[in-house]
Amino acid sequence: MRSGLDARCVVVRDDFVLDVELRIAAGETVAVLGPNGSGKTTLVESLAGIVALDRGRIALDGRVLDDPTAGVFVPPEARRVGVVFQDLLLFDHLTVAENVAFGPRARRRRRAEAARLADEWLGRLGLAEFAERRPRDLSGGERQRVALARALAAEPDLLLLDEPLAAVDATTRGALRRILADHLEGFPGPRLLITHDPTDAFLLADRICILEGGSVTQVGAADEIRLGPRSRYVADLVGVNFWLGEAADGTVVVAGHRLSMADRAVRGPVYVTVHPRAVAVYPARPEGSPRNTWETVVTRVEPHGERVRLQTGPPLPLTVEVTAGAVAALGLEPGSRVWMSVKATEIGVEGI
Amino acid sequence: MSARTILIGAVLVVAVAACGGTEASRQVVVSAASSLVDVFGAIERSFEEAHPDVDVVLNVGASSTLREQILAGAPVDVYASADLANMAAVADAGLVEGRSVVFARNRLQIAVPAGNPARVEGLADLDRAELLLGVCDPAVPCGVLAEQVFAAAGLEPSVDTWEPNVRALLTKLRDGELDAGVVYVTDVVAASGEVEGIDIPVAVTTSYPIAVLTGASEPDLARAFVEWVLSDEGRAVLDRFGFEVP
Amino acid sequence: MTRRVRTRLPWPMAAAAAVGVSLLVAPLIGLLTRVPWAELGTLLTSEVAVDALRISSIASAAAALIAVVVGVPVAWVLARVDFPGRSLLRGLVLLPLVLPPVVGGAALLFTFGRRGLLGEPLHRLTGIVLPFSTGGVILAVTFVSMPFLIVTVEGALRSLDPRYEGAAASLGAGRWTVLRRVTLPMIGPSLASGLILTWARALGEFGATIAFAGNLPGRTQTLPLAIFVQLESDRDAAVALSVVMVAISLAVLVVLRDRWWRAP
Repeated sequence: MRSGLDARCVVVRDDFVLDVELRIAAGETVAVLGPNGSGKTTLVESLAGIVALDRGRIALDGRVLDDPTAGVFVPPEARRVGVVFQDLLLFDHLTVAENVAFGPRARRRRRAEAARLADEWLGRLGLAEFAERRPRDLSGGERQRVALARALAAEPDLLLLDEPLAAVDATTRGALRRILADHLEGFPGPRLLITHDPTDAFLLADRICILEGGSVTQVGAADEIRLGPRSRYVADLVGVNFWLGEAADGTVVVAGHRLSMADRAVRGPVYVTVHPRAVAVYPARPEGSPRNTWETVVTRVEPHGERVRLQTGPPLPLTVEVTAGAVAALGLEPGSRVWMSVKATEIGVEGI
Repeated sequence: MSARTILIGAVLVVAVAACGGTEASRQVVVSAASSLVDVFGAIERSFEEAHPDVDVVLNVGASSTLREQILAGAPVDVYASADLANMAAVADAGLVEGRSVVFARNRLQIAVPAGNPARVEGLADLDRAELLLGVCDPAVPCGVLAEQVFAAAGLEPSVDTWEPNVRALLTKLRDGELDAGVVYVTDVVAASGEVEGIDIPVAVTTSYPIAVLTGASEPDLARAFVEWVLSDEGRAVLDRFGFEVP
Repeated sequence: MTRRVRTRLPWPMAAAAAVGVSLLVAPLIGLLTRVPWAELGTLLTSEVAVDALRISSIASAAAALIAVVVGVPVAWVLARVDFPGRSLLRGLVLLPLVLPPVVGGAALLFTFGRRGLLGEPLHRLTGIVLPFSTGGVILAVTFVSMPFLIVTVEGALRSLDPRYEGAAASLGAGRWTVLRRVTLPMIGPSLASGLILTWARALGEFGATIAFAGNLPGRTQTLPLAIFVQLESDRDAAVALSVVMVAISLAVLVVLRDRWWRAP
């Protein structure tokens, strides 16, 4: 019976402390999403057994891998944690097939059996034709798949992917993401995906943990995170306007500016979000003024194909998304004076 | 101190060192066989006492090595070899002034470290396989002589090392690294206390010729040195060190 | 088509370089002019030559083998294990690289000679005498050549990315398997060039051999020793053997090309 991963990892470093609690059930994919320096690598290293915990406990399918208070530390080779490393770390002195067979052979399978297992995995990942080649002869995407095959062939209890698509170019990323999704799906145990790319997290994971400065700032399903960011980092990630504000009696004060909101009940410190598409742009003060309007100046215009992102200035700087047609019609350019308008119902508010 | 200063200083030091000594105004370079190192050291001292403005430079080595040096043009004034063959080679090359003169004779002895740890009693014992036995390399006079001795005695001893010169052999005997060695009688005298000698009842000797070389920078001085060796004083010193004087 | 601008060589530089090259190459040419080409075959198949070649081959091969078995662990400890006094230990272990070989020979004599620090109990308990034996030759040449292997392998281990070993561990490989299948293969090229250097140095050793192991044809007379004594007795034979050593040295350099002074 697989109980999955049950871990509390506390690692004290010179410049920060990692303190993460992680529970992943068998068959569940969790993504840890965070900026560089947030502690993602340390987390990978502590789960893999390269770094020992200072406090906490790691248990995988009921086996305790690391428990400082009980004096238990299982070395990496006995953990059965399969890792696909950020730099892949494929063995260049071995062929692709030998790389994939490495795990089974290390776990004492006979050479022929290990080779057969390797061939199976190579087949599943569409790498059969590269079996006798060296890893350095393959493209980035192909090497990524070899790394995945190598980790899976070792039949681990936990699959850990560290920035799996970071080194892959944009054109191959989509296809590789789909392959990854399929094989993650097929892996029976818990799966942990470490990434800084929100698209990976949103598309591949069942749950997402946001890691910032060594701590988890938010946990939830993709939609929860997307619609209700709880930190500037996540908000920037999903492209939503985000502030910390103070709410009282149907109004909320953000960055010194007062806005009307639809929720009359909430009060005190709140997370405030406004989606870029929920903001209307007018060349002059709008008729029948909705509550939240103000005059401002366009500071930047960024075309993204059919849609255009505008940055606006004081009193409340915002990111606004409009159509290219609207920009043309209004003649918007940096320096243009415009009026912003946001409906009270479009202001997302969540108590802290 | 800048790098430049150090560099100039180093060059100067090397230049001065290369220039050599400055004390005596006259020099005589004597190439002498290894077995003559101690006796010629004494002769050097007495000669320099009698001739205060002269510096005797002793170049000691295996006679064959010295021969090669002379043949290759080394600036040597006097050559004293441990056998006739090496001197003949130098004479054949036309480098000997006049004729060489035999000034001493030597014979071989078995030498053992003090205390004779391996209980060697005579030539016949050298046959023992477990004995660590050293002789001179057949390329040098001492080695040639040793071969003659073994042939005369009808022995084929189990030799463990052929040392490049007799003094190297003597050193290993003194340190006890070898159980026995065949060296000159004079070497045993020179190392008295540290090695013991066992006589060899085979009448094989070697003759030491000495000669002034044609390339001598001061022929008169060179001749004076040779005469000193051949004089009564010289002979007395040779005798004291165990050489047979004709 | 672009024309490459050639670096022009200033004439003082060229002149100095010419002097340097002559200094190094002329003695080789001098040697080659003395080679008795007609008799080369006879000289090299004489008993002395064959014995010397045999002893030298055995001793240098043994030295290389010992260097691998014992030297690689030393390099490992110096590269991977942090302990107080490590720099000092490294200095001591590499000392034979700069020590005059004859000093090494004397030191070996005082340690492993029959009355030596370790040689005396060894002789008393087992009857083994190392000086004047082929074993003594092997010991002497190993002493001067093993540091080459240690320094090469230590450098290679240091520049090896340790994360590969972590990757192997994550796949279930124990420390011995990691060493065998990942670490050693990855430093393979450096290990090979270190081995060749060690072997070549062992082959050319003179001072330590003659001081410690003595000189006996068929048992302890190596090629360099044979050349040394032949120089005064049979010059042609000495030159013939010298040519063999030059040929071997050239072959070593060709095989190594520029690998041994580049970082692995």
